[in-house]
Amino acid sequence: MSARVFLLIGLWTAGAGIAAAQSELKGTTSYSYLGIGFPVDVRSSQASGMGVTGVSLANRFSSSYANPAMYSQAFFTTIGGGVLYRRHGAEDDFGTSTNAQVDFSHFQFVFPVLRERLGASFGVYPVTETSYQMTTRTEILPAFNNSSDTLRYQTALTGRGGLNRMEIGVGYRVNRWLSVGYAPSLVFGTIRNEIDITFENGGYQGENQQNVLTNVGFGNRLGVFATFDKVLDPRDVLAVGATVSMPVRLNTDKSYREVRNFQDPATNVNVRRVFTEELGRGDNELPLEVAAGITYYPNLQWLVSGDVLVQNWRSYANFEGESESYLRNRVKAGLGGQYTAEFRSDGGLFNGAAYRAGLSYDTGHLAMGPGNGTAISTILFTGGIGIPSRVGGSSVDLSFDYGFRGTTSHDLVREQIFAFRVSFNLSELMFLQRKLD
Amino acid sequence: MILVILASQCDNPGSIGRSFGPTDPTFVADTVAIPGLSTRNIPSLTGNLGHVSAGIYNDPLFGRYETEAVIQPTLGARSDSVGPNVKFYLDLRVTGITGDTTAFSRFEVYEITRRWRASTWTMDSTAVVGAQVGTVLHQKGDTIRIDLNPSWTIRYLAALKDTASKRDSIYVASLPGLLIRGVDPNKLLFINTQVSSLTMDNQDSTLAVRRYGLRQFATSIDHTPAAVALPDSLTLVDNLFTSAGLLDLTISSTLLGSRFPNRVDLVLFEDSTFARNTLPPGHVRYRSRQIPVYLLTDTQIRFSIVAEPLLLVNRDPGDGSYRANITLLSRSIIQANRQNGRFYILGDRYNGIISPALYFNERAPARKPKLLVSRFERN
Repeated sequence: MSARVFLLIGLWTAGAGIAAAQSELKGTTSYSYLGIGFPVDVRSSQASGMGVTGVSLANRFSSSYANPAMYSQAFFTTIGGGVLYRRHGAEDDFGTSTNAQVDFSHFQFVFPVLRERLGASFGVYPVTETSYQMTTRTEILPAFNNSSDTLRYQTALTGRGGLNRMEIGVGYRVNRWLSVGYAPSLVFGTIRNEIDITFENGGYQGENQQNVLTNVGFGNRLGVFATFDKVLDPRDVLAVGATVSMPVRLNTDKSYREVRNFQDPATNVNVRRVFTEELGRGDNELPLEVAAGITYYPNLQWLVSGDVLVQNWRSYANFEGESESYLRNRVKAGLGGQYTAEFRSDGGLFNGAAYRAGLSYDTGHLAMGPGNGTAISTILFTGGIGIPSRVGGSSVDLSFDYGFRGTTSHDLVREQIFAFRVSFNLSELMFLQRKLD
Repeated sequence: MILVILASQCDNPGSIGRSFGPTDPTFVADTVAIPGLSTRNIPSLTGNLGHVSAGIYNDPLFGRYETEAVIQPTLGARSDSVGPNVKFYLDLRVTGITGDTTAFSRFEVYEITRRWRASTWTMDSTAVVGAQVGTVLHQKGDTIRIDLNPSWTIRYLAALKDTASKRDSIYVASLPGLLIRGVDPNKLLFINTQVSSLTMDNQDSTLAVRRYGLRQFATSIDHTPAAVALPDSLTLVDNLFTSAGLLDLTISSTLLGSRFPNRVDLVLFEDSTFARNTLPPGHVRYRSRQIPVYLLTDTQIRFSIVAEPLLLVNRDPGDGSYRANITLLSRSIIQANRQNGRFYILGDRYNGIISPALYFNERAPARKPKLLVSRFERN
């Protein structure tokens, strides 16, 4: 695949991401109504195909947020991004629904300051996501609605937005086997919960109300990454990595917005106005996150990786400073492997491609229902392929997830998840002085 | 940068997750009684309305009305052809009557001899009249043609052919108009002022028939109420502002239970049984079945200011109610925290037709004036 094709895919993907950010989202999971949205795990394009977080999965051709210590491994200047298509089928005891959505997954720019010694990164990626839509059509019989006709109206409850992290990171290789990293970040985002009521009968005024939470805070991530060779075999390599994402105290402004129609008594002209009311400032806290993993490379073709991520959601406090009874600590474990085909000079499109598979189990951060609650867990089966460029270190990675979340017991929701992701990594040797003309 | 619009698709958003998701606001339908319907006499004008009234009628319920229509036709163009056998008629279009539908009624037309102004005409204004210039007998039909006497038409012709530069001013001064007066006390005619005309007919097929509309028009009304005891639950409201209905209603969020109600209907019920039973056989009262709702300030009602109604409300043939949708107005009042004026209603449209009505008031057990409020309650 030529560098030009890679460039076009990259530009298309980046542009698409901006467009998606401007478009209105339809719902992906009704569970995202709770808390400050549903946690989003941004993985490297390689880890995406293996079901792991990727804290121990270093790849010089592929940008990764998973562990800031890996920025020290930067050999190429790399721009990474992706587009994600998701299709959620949901069911509970009352019905089913289907939602599909395409949106931007992340953007990252990684560059070496001192090649494979000191690297830096800048990027934006989502941390939580609120994206739901619940629509109800209601009929009120004449005896209960002040008129001689049946009143019909539709209520759409919609949540949009989420938290994002804009992060600058630095990774430093301390010695041949150990790297450390640090990444301060600005965590920001707006969560908009909206009620929109539309009447089918004439003469009624619908309404649109929005509760808006605008959050901003500063975060810190620390990472460590180590490699050991000749562990079990002269050709093998063992990599371990761990990250700690410190709790983020979010300053939250809450506001209320209404769109209303009026009649000007002086002119009898109908006017439409937006009313905004500031409801004060509070604090949220994005919880501590710890991740650790191990990757084993028995040879150049194969690798197997596993990691665990823990988020301390029990410590979460909402805008009013209250804890939420339905939150629990989240543990996510993933295991996956990769086979990289041999690169041949006369190979076709998939020459040197990496084939990936894995699975993950996520206890979720929610436990709902009677007693201690039923965990809203997620199991995902993952597969993917990485297609390298013939020149430079660029690649396009395709991956998919298929799995299930939740349960229909206790009036809860079970979701069937299908996701397809296209990621790109544009790598280029930059800032190098040519030695030969 | 290449921008590509990405698809967001919602095949079937449904209402999954209601057990833990946000809850729908609850629909609430409230009834708020209006504590009072009284009447006020508000100065009003009876000129330049859509209709003029002529005739006399002793209404057993609403009293005796003696009405005279005063009109002034427009002056035609100097170039209008006039033949030797020209005749002038007053062609009146009758929208409706109140009174005896079977009786013959004589109407007489008099020349007005003093200038008058419709824009300041009130119901007790009177025209100074001279000689009679026409008469007609009416029983049925919605058009009336009155043959005008040459003593008036000759002078109109002279004005028509006047070459003076101020011919229009001379016309207004010399021929101030015509007055139509009923003789028999059995009927009120309501004449549409927009389609009635002075017709010049040359009685010659080669010359065009000319119709001259009305330049100004007004009605003088003498009303003597009837000595009828109304039930406590009924209030007489006319459409001349002499007995305008005043609703004891101040809109507020407290009253309506919401800052932004989704619908507010002002509901009034008109009596039909009691009023109908007072009519002799063969008699009718003209009703348009449409009432205006006003929001008038004290300044407006003090100076005969003719304000446009907020709403014209049609009668529901089912239950005889009038429902005025005042949702947007209510929201405006609540938002401004100020109701600029008081709510008034009339018995019918304020258009020159005389059409009083009986409304059920706050003492009516079931049909009292009220507000029907539809709103949502937050959960």
